[in-house]
Amino acid sequence: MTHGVSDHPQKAAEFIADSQRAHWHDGALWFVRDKRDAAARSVPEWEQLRETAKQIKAHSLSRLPDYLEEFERKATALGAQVHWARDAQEHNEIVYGILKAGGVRRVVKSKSMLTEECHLNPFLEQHGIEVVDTDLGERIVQLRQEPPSHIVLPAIHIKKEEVGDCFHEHLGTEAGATDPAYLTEAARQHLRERFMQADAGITGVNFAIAETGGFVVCTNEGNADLGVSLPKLHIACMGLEKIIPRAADLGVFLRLLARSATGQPITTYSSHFHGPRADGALHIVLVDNGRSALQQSEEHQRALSCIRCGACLNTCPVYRRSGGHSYETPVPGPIGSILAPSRDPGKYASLPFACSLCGSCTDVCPVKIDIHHQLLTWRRELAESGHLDWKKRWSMRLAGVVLGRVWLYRFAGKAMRTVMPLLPRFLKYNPLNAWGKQRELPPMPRKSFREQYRRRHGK
Amino acid sequence: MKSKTYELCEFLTDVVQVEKLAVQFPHRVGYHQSCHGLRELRLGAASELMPPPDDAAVGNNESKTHRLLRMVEGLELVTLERSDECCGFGGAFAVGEEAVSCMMGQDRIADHQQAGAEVIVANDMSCLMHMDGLIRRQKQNLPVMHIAELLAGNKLPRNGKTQP
Ligand code: SF4
Repeated sequence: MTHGVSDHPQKAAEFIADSQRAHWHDGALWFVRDKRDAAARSVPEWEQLRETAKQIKAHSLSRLPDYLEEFERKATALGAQVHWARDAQEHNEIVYGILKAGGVRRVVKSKSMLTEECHLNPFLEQHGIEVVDTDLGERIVQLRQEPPSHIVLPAIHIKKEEVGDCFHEHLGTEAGATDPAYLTEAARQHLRERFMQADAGITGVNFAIAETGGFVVCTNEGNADLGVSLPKLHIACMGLEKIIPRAADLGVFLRLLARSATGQPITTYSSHFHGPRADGALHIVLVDNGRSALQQSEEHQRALSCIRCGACLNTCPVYRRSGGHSYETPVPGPIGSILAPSRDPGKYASLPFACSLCGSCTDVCPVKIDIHHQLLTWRRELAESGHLDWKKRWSMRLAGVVLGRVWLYRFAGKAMRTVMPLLPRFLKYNPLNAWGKQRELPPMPRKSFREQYRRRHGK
Repeated sequence: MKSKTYELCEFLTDVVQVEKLAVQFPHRVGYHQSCHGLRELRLGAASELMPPPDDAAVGNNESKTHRLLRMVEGLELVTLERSDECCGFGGAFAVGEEAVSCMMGQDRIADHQQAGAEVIVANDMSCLMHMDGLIRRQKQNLPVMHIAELLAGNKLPRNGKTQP
């Protein structure tokens, strides 16, 4: 599946070249982070909630097969049909098979990162099925024929003027319109029509409950509910890691999810599904696609606890300034940089390095995933498995040689202090010196700390 | 090793238990909270973490270094818009992700400038080296100081020179 190697530094530099836009993007996401802080602060037991959520997830993952089988039994007893998909291809084929058997031509889909991950839309379209994303942000990026740039706010990279242009072209709104109320209303009318025509609704799953066989879908627009209330066929696609043991655990996650995602106390719609509606059918597709491999990995298992709230993206100083598309993966940002290399280390080797290791993601994460430490672990693993480019390889090797030998380290320091001040500027600031593109090198001290210390203490 | 090693400010507040400092520094200081001090050594409460209910009064991001800075006579701490955002140094990140790194540093500097800081102070030399590199390239007048220099009684650096 390797088509081209992702190059985050290059893509990020392109995004930043438009400094005004990059700053606007940074500000928009910082605003969401701020709202998250206020919402979290309103819960006195916030840190306790995070710890509880972490433990529930750790427990669920440690007994994943048991809970999944329990879920399958209970969901089947409720009248749902449960399918298992090993990978993206199998998932897409299962979904298509169900749609084909039902004679479906038109599908409405609410937000689901999993179907993005599996590239379900293009697959279904190839088979002559029309798919309409009904989440407003997702519809916007779908009309613009680009992937979402954020897992909760898919169109956060698009300005309202650009939404106006897009709707003018596709929905026939007035040229130059930017009023959000007007544009939203136009989208609403357009989507309503698609809802009425649809033969099936596809949703994601936020939480699947082993104990009951039910599941919960969280949206702010109610589009999941409409999408499965009008057509009679409902397909819910979920990654294996969405399972939680008991209905009682839900409260912990619902309280954390919306506050972490957007700073709301709760998502507008938390829809619970227990089996199919009276005259309809419900299919649940459980997808592995690399998850059980992660579950087996002691280092990265915790990444499966992710509830896709997006808080680590909003807080990440790199994501905010480089934009979601710079990651070239369905889930961008810190958590995406852990997940992507597990799927294709060669392609995504640059992502664990797109991080200053500030640790903000780890502290913001509602399920306490040690995100930045895992990114560090990935760097080591990528180095060991030979996935680094020559520049990183050689600079690491050189640093290893110098830092591993006291005499060489001292000599190199002395040489730098002696030679650097003598060099003409053009030799120090050349295209090979990435530091010096926008920064001055530090002034060289005449004596090292060791030398000064020796002199003062006469040793 | 961890139990025997202290960061300087941590050592002063927790081991020496400094209560008073005979140091004057009559300037507006922008304090940069370096990430590894904050989120690895936990010298203060990171803004992402929520204080426990009984600790609400001290939960305003006050670190051990803040406490020491408040003992310095004449020193005024400016209020930043983003109290603990990363400066973008990040070791190899500074060159590997040059564009993002420099934009991050630039944004931090701008925050200190809008807050009216006369100097940026931090516990971590590498953050300072990075921001100072940007400041000097742009020939701006905003010196940087390591916290040890300030606590040792050094004066505000002038024309890029340390003033003992
Ligand atoms: S890793 Fe944590 S913060 Fe990031 S999206 Fe997942 S749950 Fe949210």
